[in-house]
Amino acid sequence: MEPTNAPQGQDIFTSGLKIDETAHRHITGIAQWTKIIVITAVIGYVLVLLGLFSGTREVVSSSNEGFSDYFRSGSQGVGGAIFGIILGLLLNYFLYMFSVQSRKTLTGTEPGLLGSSFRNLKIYFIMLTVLWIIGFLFLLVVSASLA
Amino acid sequence: MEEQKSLFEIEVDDNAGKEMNELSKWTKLFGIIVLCLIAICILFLAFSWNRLDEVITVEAAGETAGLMGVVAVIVIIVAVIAGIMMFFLVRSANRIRRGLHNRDQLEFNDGLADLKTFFVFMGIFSILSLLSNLFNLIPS
Repeated sequence: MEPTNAPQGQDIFTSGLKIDETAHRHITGIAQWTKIIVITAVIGYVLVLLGLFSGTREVVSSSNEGFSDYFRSGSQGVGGAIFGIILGLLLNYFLYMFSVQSRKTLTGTEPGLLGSSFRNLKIYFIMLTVLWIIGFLFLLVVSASLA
Repeated sequence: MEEQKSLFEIEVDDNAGKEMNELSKWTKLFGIIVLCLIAICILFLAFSWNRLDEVITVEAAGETAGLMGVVAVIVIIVAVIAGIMMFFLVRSANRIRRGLHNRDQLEFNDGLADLKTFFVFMGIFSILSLLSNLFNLIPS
């Protein structure tokens, strides 16, 4: 298909692109892999919870100063892990919704869900970006306090 | 024939186009941020090599033969793999955006292919991470 630029004033998204056989294959692949990511993540969270509540809470508690303070665990570790799991579940929810809705669109069950599915994927990446920025700033603060 | 036509001719409507356009912006931003962080981590490692070596030597009570080398190799491998993943993500964002704006089906499809590659990487690492967690649970 010859690429054509949108005329002035016309909505650039009105027509032209289709989910052809190639795009269908790619989106199906993305949906499959995102589902795998969600499933492995959830299994991982279950394993973490099992590890936390099976009596193996204490990681390391050393009498040394400085470095080993970061290895102490206990109720703070459980709280942090649960917070992380909740955050992870929220992230993976959007990935799961993308997977489900894009499949419904591609199989023709609900063809109007294409936009909604990619909105979920967009939200996933928004959250990921914000979390990475926050994580980086946190690392900066920790590094500055260590220096 | 009707069913085959409906499978392969779902049109990218206004809503889907806008969502994909915004998705491409955020994926590009995320990719660039991660690439910058990788570069910062490598620079940090390079500039604080000696200091890290001293700290690790003190904490490990002298048993650090080759440890910093192992750390460096691991960091480089992780950085390379993450860099490749972000390359595909950023390229996907650019291609999808160009495909949408120029109504170029090939470019759009190539962008989706790059996005799929990114998620393939993520999926493989998720599986490897899960397997390593499972191995850690096995009592020695």
